[in-house]
Amino acid sequence: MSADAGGGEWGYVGSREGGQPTYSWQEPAEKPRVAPAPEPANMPADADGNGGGGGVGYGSTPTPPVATSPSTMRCLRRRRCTVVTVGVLGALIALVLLAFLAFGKDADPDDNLLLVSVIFRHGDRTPSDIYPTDPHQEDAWPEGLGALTNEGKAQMFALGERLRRRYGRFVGAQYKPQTLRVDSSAADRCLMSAGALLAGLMPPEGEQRWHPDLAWQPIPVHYVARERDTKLAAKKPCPRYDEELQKAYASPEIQALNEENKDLYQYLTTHAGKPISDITAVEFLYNTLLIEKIHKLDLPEWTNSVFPDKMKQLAAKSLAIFTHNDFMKRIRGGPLLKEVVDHMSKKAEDTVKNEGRMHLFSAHDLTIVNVWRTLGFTELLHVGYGASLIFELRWIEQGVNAEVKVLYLNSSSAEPINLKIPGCSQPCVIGAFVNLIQHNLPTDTDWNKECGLPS
Amino acid sequence: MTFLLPALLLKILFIYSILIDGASCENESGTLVLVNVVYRHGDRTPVSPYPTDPYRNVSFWPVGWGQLTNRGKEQHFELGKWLRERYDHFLPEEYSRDDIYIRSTDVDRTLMSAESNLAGLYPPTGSQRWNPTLSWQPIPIHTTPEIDDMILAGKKLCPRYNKALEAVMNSVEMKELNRKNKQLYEYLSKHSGAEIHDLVSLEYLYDTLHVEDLYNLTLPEWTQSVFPEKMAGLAAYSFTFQAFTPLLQRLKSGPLLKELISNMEKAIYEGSGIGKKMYMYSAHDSTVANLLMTLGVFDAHSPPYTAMILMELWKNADEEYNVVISYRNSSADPSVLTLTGCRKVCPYEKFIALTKTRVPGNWEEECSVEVVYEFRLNSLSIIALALSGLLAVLLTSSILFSILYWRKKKSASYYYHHVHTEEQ
Repeated sequence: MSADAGGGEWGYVGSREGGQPTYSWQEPAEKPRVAPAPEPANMPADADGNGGGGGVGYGSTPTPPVATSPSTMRCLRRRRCTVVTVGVLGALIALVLLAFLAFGKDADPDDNLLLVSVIFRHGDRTPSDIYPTDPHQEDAWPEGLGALTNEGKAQMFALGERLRRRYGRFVGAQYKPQTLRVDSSAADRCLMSAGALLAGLMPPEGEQRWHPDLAWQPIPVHYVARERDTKLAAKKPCPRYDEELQKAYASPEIQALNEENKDLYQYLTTHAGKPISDITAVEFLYNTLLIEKIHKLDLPEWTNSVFPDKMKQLAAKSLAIFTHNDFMKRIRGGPLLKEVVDHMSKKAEDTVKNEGRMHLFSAHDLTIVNVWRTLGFTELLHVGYGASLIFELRWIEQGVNAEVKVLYLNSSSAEPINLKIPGCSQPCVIGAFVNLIQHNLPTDTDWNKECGLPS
Repeated sequence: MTFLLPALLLKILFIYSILIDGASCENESGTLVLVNVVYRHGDRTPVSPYPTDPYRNVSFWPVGWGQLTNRGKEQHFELGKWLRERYDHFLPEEYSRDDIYIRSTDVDRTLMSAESNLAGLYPPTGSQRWNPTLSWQPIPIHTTPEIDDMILAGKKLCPRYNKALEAVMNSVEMKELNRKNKQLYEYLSKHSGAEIHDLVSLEYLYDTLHVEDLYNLTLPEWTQSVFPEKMAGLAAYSFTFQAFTPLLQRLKSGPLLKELISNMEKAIYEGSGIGKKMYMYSAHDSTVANLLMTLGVFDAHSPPYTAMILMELWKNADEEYNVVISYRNSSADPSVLTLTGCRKVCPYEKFIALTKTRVPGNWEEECSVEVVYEFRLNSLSIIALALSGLLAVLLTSSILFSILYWRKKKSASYYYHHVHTEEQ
């Protein structure tokens, strides 16, 4: 994972409120260090909001007021008239420049931003399944199984607030259906996560405040049924994919891993009371134990020797096996990535017709890993709640050339990491990116055909 | 008989009081088991302006065309609160996915209406309060893309429906109606710049004018002679078209009716207190009108914002299930509707029998079948046909018999005569 930034990424804040070009809705107190504060309080940081020094030059503006004033002082002693003129002129220039710095820079960090797509994992949830010997059975979870918890709602709300701080001004303080689109997986926890995130991202402002006591407004969240969904739940049945998945489980690499962990599987099978014979079974058990730990439930003694260390990597490996080879990437990661890429291409071609500014996708850990691996990343991910894969489309040269930036947050509170897209030089120009990734992006017809379904 | 009448009246009054007093969802004469709720979205901007519309610039409508407005959000928030009040003892205060299922058409204004409604119905209480400053909680709303949605949006392609609708639109009555209003159509077309050629296109124009009027925008001079009076009645009548015939009802609204019935079926099968208590459907004026048409209780009108059908399933002390359908199209209490052939409190079995012909079997198949078998849809016509068929058979056979008898008699007499002659 090639990280070239972090600190400065989320520092940029701005507001339209009251028409003041100040940086008023500042970072929350708990994250004071994120803004790489320049000396004059109202002067925005140069590299701010710009991929931590990705090279697009905001820093090139000279600061003549400082340079001109000493020379004006020298002139003052020689010829008074000239000096007064020059002085007045100089002061004027200085004023204009200062005004430019103070006011003109205001919009800069968003100026080159064209489109943002965010694929995020839902928030904290209850376990999806419980193992037979689990001391914490279903009744330990009043919300039911696989449900978003209050904690999860708060995480998503906070993630929404963070996105607002970073992109709020770009997306606009007011919700507009043509600029913001939200898609979700069919799962309740994803639909609810999208709702909670939107509450943080788009509290009603000004005219949109429709209720005096409620800082919330309804925003539509779209989804398609699970059995038709190739993008977010990515559960549309694909017979050929299932065959490939079986082959992947039987591959020498995974077989070797199974052999290596034979004793662990045996141990887990004995204690969990159900057969644990592959990495995905380990992952499910790991998830349940992890959730119970997060919710401060006591784990049984037997877990001490295996959880989390011995299970953690296997669980991550299990998430990766669903995109084991190129075909599998194409089927399970391709459709969503295609939607993201298509939007970017269209936007770069015609910014007038394509009014979209932000596209949110509420999904699962597996969705993120699928897209991650389809992009060409190979590191194993431990996807936290609210983990987000962010695609930014930015002008390199206004109206001419745009680049793709990919950022990753490992959880709703983690710092974003600026990623280097494998195989793409920096800046990663949209055209080059499309060429690079095209072979992994099937159309709906292709998808059906390759799955062995009628198209 | 004379002493029975007051008793009957008392009983009716008693039942009525149960229905009015929504809060008492349980008492000695019955328990509420399940509620199906179907409503229209709240106040919205016009779906589209007409060509000469002085307010065709989108700047008059900051939220965009066909979008829910703040008023609409408030209306549904209020409706949610109203539902909370009516069903407070029935529907737990805390949201649970085991109690309620919400479905919306995949249109911004209906999705947002459902969200606003739920904000009023389920403000977070107790342990569900997840944000100290925000009295709202996320609740999943289910939907499906319109082109796949035959249940609520009714937009999934159904060739047989389209053909049947076309037949209605080209029927003699419709042509006559259009002929009568030809002058009005011409007047409207001339001034609006839109092509107004039937009641459907007239209704679109009416709706836009109606919305602009609601927003206190001054309508152009030319509208004064036609809006609202002349147009309102015709626009209202146009809401009968989509479900004009039993076949149209079966194919358009049938899938929704089938789902509402299956919700009740499940509740009866599972027993009260186990399954979901409320099913909520967020949709459009046409959805409401079509369903009322299909139930045979539609008084032609344009269903207003937040117009709502409540289909309640009750269980009485004798373990019998009843269906009560009411309609709320104003801030007043909902009015109970009576299905033709049934009482206000309609026995479940009776309700099923009465609506049977409107519930499709395999919808997809019925949509593709071109053979017209409408007669199967109407039991009365089957009986009539069978009866007249039988009568026809009887008549012909009796004629035949009489002819034969007459002939036989004739020939017999001749034979006799013949024999007689032979003997001679």
